[in-house]
Amino acid sequence: MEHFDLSNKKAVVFGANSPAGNAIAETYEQADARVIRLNQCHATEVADKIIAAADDLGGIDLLVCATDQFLAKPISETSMDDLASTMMVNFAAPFMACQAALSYLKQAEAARIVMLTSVLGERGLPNTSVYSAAHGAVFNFIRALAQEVAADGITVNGIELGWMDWMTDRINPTDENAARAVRFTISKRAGTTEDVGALALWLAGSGASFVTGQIFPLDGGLTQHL
Amino acid sequence: MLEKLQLDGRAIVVTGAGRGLGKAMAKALAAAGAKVICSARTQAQIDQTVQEILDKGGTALAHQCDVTDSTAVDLAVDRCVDEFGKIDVMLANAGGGGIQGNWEFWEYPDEAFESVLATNLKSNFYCSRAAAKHMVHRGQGGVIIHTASGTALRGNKSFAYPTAKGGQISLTKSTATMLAPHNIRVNTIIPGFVAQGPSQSDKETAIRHQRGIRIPVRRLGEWWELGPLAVFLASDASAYITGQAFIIDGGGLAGGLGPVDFIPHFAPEHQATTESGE
Repeated sequence: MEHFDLSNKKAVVFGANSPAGNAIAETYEQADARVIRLNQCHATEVADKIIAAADDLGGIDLLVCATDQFLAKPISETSMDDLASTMMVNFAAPFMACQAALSYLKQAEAARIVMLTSVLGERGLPNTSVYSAAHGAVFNFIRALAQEVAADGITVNGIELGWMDWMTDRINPTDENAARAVRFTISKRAGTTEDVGALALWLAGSGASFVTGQIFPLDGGLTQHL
Repeated sequence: MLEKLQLDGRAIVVTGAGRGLGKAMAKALAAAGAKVICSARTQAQIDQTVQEILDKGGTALAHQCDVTDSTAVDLAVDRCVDEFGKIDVMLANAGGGGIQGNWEFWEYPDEAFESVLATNLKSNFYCSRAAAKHMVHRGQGGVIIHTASGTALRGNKSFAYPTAKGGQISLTKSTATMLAPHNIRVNTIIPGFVAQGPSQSDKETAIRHQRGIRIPVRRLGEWWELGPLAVFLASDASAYITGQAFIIDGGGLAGGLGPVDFIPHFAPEHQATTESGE
């Protein structure tokens, strides 16, 4: 199990107040990493919080970005504030976190960035034009950043969430069509926080050093069947 | 621009031209000026396709061919060269069928798997090889087009067919790479759910409507809609496009995260948590 051992690893989980971020923070702690949890915050505070966390830990080996803010509105009703806010939380804030953490990650021995994203980054649904576009941005941010920092020994990968059991904002329990969407998965169930932690642990571990620029669907097969 | 879409004098072999999408594409290519060898197993059907092309003033010949027989495929291409002096385009469209059955995966017989691959993958290799041999020899380039399926990009329970069609997409990429120095372009058309021809009954119309409402544009595709894409890919209008797959599916593959009537509504109450500083 040495490839799943994070002892002596210094981890920052940005967006630890989201269910996925919290699950990853807990998992990394169980694997003996030292974890600092940062909640979703104002854009102007992101860099300072990352730097403060790095100071507390004495560096950063693992950065997880898990901020998430869903929006589902017809495009005709989407305001510029909706656009700015959704792009900010889902794309720009993680971008800033990576930017702020980079100098610390470069000094780490086996640095990892793990980005949480969504199946909506590769597909569309009605009313999700902004949210889908924001996660499409995350998809290609992962691929481009992986190229840029590969020589620094930093890997960048994504976890693409499908329909998870906490997502009552999109899988509204009172919406029969949402229930049908969950039954659309091969697994016939929504994902759980436990599913997220395990994949994030593999990506953080020593077995994943040759894995970079990839986005792994964690979706019960949702995106792979017809 | 429009003149680039003209196929005047181009010699084209269309397999599976006896019905459905192949027939529709053969007619569209002929209408754009191409001389078409209409090929399929069933003579009466390709005779009908040819007659419909001739009736509109086009040029076409029927040539019976089973695409699972590589010698027969070579002869079909030879026929095109004999009749028209060359082959410019191979539209390897024939597919479907194979031995069908309701087996569990772990009981699926060799013969069934092999027959589906023979019809839907090996046939495309035979067609590509036969056409490329003449095209390279002639030295004036050419075009090969395959007809795959949206199932190739996703799994489903008729697994052998999607497996074969996925192979076609891969075949397209590799052969495009190998044949590019010879100015031979290779592309794939990926149809979604497309009706094979006009509805023959009210019941069929109703079934099509029911299937259509599961697709984002709320209808099945129609056979003739493959024609303009085939003309584009066969013509000089697509001269810089090779190794690609063109999806024509009413938006199905761009979505598919739930039923089409799954339309979330959600506006978070506190959107300002991470807004840029004022």
